[in-house]
Amino acid sequence: MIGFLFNLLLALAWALLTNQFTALNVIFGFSLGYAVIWLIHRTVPALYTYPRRLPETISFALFFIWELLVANWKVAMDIVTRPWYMQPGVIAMPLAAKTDFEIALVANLISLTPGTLSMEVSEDKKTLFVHAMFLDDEQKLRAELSEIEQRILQVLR
Amino acid sequence: MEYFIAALLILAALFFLLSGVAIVRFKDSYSRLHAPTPASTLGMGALLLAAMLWQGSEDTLSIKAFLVMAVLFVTSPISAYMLAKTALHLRLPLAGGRQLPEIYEQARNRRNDSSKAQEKSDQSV
Repeated sequence: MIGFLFNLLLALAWALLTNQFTALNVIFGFSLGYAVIWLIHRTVPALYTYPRRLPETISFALFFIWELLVANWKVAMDIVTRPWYMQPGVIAMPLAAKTDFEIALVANLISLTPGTLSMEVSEDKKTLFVHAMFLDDEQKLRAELSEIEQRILQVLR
Repeated sequence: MEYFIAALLILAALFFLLSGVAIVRFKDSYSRLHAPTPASTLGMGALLLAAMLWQGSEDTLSIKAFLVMAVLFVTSPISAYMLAKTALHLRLPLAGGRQLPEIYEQARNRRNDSSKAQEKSDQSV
């Protein structure tokens, strides 16, 4: 997080010094700042994980957008066309996420994906109760949910 | 470019329409919580992309659309979560093909008998 802030400041400094506030120039400054941080990240402990995390975050964002598109398509087709495959129900999903922040992020991203909605977390924070629209293939659903969770944890840890 | 923006706007409108139809068609309050998600993700996404392309050009950064998207993506799951929690608390009935009353009760009481729940759902598969 602090690494991202530093990178943003460097991009801003580049834009100020070159006196060009265009999108392209700020992005160029940002990538220059990333290169600078990559050069010094071994000697500064606060920046150590940042060069690894930025590409991971970007690839997670792309993966999540793709998941959104696929799930949206599935839900949309089921609403519009006649044979309904909808089988709503609740499943209990064991959580690998430990801290409150991780659990909140996992639950929110699951809610954002169409077709799944996180309802409740158990009191010992080990199970997430998810309401799903398509329970016809429960194993596949569980695999998808845990893939999202694993990728979030990979970015955060 | 203008045709592309118009196409994006129409796509967004179609997603909003889809969500409206979904709210009418779904049977219980839990499923109805799923209905607005296509509108709030892809619908708003297409709308904001159109706004960004219309306002911005190569020389200006339009961050406003990104901020709107960020706020929506943070707030909409939380409101959905609160609604689901309320529905659980009021014991609104679940409709649909696969009901697992045991897991439903667990979720309501926030109990974690994960082994039991796993067994139960394995049996019914």
